Amino acid sequence: MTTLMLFLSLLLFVYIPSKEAIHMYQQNRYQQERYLYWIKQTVQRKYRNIWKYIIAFLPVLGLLTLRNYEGMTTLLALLLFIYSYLCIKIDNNKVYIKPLVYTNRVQRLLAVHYLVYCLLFYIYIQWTVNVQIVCIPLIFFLPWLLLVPISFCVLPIEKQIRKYYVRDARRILSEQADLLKIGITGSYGKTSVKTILQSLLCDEYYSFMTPHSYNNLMGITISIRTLLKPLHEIFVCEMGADHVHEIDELSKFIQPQMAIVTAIGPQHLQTFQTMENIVHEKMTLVENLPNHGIAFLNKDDTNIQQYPLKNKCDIVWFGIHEEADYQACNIQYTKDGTTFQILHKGRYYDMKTRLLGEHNVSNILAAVAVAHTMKIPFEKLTFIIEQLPYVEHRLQVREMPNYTLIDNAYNSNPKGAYYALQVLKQMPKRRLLVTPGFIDLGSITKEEHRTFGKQIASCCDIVILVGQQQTKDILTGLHEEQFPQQHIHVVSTIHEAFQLLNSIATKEDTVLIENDLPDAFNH
Amino acid sequence: MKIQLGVMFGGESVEHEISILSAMQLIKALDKEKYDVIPIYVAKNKEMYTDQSFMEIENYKDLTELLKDKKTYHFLRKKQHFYLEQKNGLLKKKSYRIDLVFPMLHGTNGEDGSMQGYLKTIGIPFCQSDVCSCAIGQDKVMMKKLLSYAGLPLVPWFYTTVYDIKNSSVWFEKAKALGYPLIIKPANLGSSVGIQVVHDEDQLHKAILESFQYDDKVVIEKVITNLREVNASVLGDMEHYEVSCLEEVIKQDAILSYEDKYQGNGKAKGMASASREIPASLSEEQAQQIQLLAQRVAYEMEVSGVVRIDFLIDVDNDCIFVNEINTIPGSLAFYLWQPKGVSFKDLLDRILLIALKRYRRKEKMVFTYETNILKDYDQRQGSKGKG
Repeated sequence: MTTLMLFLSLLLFVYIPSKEAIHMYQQNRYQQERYLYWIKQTVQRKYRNIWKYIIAFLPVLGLLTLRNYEGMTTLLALLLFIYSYLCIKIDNNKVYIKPLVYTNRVQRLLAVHYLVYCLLFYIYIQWTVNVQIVCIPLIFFLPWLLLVPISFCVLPIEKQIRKYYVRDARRILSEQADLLKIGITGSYGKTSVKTILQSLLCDEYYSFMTPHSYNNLMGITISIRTLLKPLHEIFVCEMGADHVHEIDELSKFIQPQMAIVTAIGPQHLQTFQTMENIVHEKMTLVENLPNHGIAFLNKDDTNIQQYPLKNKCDIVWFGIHEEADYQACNIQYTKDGTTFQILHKGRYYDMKTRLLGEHNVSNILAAVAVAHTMKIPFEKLTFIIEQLPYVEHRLQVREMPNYTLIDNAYNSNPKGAYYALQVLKQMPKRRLLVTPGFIDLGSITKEEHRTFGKQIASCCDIVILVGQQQTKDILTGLHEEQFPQQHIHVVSTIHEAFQLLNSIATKEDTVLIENDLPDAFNH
Repeated sequence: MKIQLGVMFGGESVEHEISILSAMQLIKALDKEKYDVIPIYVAKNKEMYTDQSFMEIENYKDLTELLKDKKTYHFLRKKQHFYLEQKNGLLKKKSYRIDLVFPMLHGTNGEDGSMQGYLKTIGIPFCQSDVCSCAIGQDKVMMKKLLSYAGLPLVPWFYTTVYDIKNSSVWFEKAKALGYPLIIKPANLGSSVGIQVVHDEDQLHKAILESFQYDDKVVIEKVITNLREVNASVLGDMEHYEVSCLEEVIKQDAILSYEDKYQGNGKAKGMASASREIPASLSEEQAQQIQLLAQRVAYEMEVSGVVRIDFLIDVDNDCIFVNEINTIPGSLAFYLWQPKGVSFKDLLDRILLIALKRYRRKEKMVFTYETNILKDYDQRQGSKGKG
């Protein structure tokens, strides 16, 4: 009876650690290397906190002093039960920026975990009680370690399941032969261009776009399988890449007739190694186009402009600083938005939008180039552009009770951050910035952070940095520009940052939130 | 991939048979290169059936024989697709994917917005007008209220409901103000079912009471003694409405009865062969006036697809009145479009395009996602403040 109790308590005891391990595995996109790298980083960072765990386990270890007391197993079970209860209680109160999503895959993983636990704990309960007690701290960390072999073992099964889904999506696409497919790639601006293009097209055509930021093989597959309808005429597909050959794979899968390359930067440099790899990767989308295909390329981006394309499809250029088929000029920002003109075949067309920043002008330009090529007249485009809603979390102006917020929270990058700062700079009264810096920039993170710090110095009045470790190089940059120390605040979570904002910001202030990160990187 | 078009017809309505006739014409005219037709027969008991045998008009001669051993179906939504699936059956449940529905139903439960509401609730895109326009178009009282609000010319009228039976003296006062003879129409029935002409209070009382068999609301209108009936069809949506050729219905009795309208000269197949003159012989000015009015009625009613609007001309006073609107007209009024060079096939294509346009516009409106990270944050701040 007591052994059964112990067994059940153990199963409950490992629930929260398993959940957390799988959660972080999910945030690292189910990639073992990324997960292990993250664990390594976290251990390095947090090993000083080990005493917290030691204290937490003292009551259990204290049981050892009781020396073969009969009720030890019962006590142990009871203690474990209390631990589990506390863990669950704490977890319930935790607020995750991106909580664990119980996808089928996560459910499968959790189920396999529990199968293994049952097996292990069956062996465990045969041991003497002293050994059992000593093992408890180990068991607490067991899920984090077990996840690696388990996820490795279920990988072939996951692969088969994924293969089936992809095949099914390919079948759906091949059945819809009349569907016009437009692929969008680039290091940034993909989601914005996609959303704007969708708005421009959807009045004339029944157009479908990949939702949210679904831009990898499985994201696109699930979109096709669950959202694409036979009535759709156009499929606007965002394609992202964080490793080599991903775009190649995606463009062979979707086979778009049109391609947009927004802008190329050092995103995911960590996994790509070199800038050449990144550029080549994005341009494969264009190289995989059929001969009658059309590529829409950003002339302002030197990487794109100088890339020697190997195939013969039509190319339509768009740009702001360089002469292009669709060129934006006379850009002006006001507090209500941006006005500019588009120069096409010697004629100027006035445009007005509430979207802010030069990159948004470039994004609109890309979408206009495609829509106009598809015979939608300028008058209609102008009308729609004026009504374009803010793209969620991308320089979105929101009126908060205490201040005006420019929300640029979603997956930011150095270039985007620079544009955001330029917009912030033009705002009246006090300008505040909340940022945890960038991720996934690999070896150049340090340098980019320092540059970012320097740029901030000339554009803001008060800076709130989120995460001491993460933002230390930004701080260096700020110091180099003699930014007053009393106007720098360092907090540990985004929530603390908001609390601080509520106490220091006033109605006339403008606050820019630059890049808020998923939990895995929030340190 | 071809669009799988479900054509619904029959229905629990006095115009059941007319609907079947119209649907058969429609199916025949559809471009089979573009659409796969799935006939959906709605029996008088509201059950839905589908089968190739429902495509043949001859099979409808014996309805019991037709429905023998046939399985009932219902609509289902699975992920992004819609299916017409067999209701019962264990292993092999037949199901057909439906991309778009053409409700070729007349009268109650088909043309009155209820079927449209059903389709809309499931989410299936459908042709012709939306719920609201259909509902108002089918209810003569609501329609007249709306059109008179819009300032469109109507034959002098009033209405009464079954709850007014006790003080019927009001009827006589109002009737006196309009002047006899009067015409009594149940508010909700299509075609000419239940319509009577009365000449005095006695007849009026009897006729109204009789009308309450058909509906709780009754419309009473002044009879135009010397009248011409002219119909126009309108195609489009609120962005643009186009008006067809006009037709004049040749009257044979005081009013066009149900028999006249649909069974006419015996060999009738739907509305197309009722006694009519196309184009109506009207003065240029009058024709233009009617076309303009037709466009305005369509706009005020916010209809989409093809509709038929019926007008009355008072010959003695040279007045034009809007009489009624059919949101799903018999034969889809294709015979009014042919003289303008629009074949039935083209007409259907255009109706389907309009339907798709409305569907994607409606869908777009749902396409905004509301974020709540920051909102949640504020709330927690609030609750903390209280505590």
